[in-house]
Amino acid sequence: MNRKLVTWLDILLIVLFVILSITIILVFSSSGEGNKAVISVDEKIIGEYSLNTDLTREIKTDYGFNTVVILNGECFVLDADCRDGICISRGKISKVGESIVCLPHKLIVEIK
Amino acid sequence: MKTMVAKKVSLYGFLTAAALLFGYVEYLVPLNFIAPGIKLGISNGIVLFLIIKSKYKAAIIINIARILLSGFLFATPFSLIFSLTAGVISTVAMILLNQFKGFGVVGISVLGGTVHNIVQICVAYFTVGGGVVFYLPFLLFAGILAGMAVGFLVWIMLNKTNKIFDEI
Repeated sequence: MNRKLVTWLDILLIVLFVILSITIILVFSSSGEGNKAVISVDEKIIGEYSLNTDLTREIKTDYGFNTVVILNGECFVLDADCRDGICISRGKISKVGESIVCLPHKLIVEIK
Repeated sequence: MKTMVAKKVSLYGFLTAAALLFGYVEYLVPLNFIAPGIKLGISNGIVLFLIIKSKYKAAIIINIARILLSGFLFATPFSLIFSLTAGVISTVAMILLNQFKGFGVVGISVLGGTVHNIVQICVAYFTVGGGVVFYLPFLLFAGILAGMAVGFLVWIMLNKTNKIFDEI
């Protein structure tokens, strides 16, 4: 076993990946506040809602249910019966390009 | 010859069980407070350990065995597709990087972690559509950090384990 723990090439690789992720963040995150939340299941849009009106909608599909809430210009998933609850822990979104994804239910909420 | 086979079977069985156990511990202790769906990937350390030891076939077989077993035990068939594609492709990526002498354990581990997460995003892209790209930078960062941690653990493991792993 003659492999080192860390080499300069490793650090170069890590720096490249960090630069890559920062670039993607800069490209995709426009700081502008969005004005509507687009909800889609299975790549089919099932509803577009303005962020200016508070709303609670339960989305029931064959995969399960997600309760999507719009409150004070922010959108979040309040409740869901998916296995991991990742969509709930994603928290609130309000900026253009931000999204909440629930993979088990094939649900995406995207701000536009 | 017979003892060699017995050694191999017991050692690979042990490593598969260890990888499965690590995976289960991570399943029990979710790190969702850092970012949604983040895992350390300690079981990937077993695979990396075998790759550094140039046991490529064992690395791939043990990884697939672990993913299938944990898939049937704790996950859904849907998440099995994710972990299987990401697991196999990241293993192949780490094997390829291991061909170059200039990289250290941490570098190979970081590549494994990031490739794993990139592949998962790609699979997610094809199943749910474009919105998931937003997660990519966070998962990349997570892959780098987890890769560094796992690489360090494997480094310790490489120095602590005795020669039994070289004889098979």
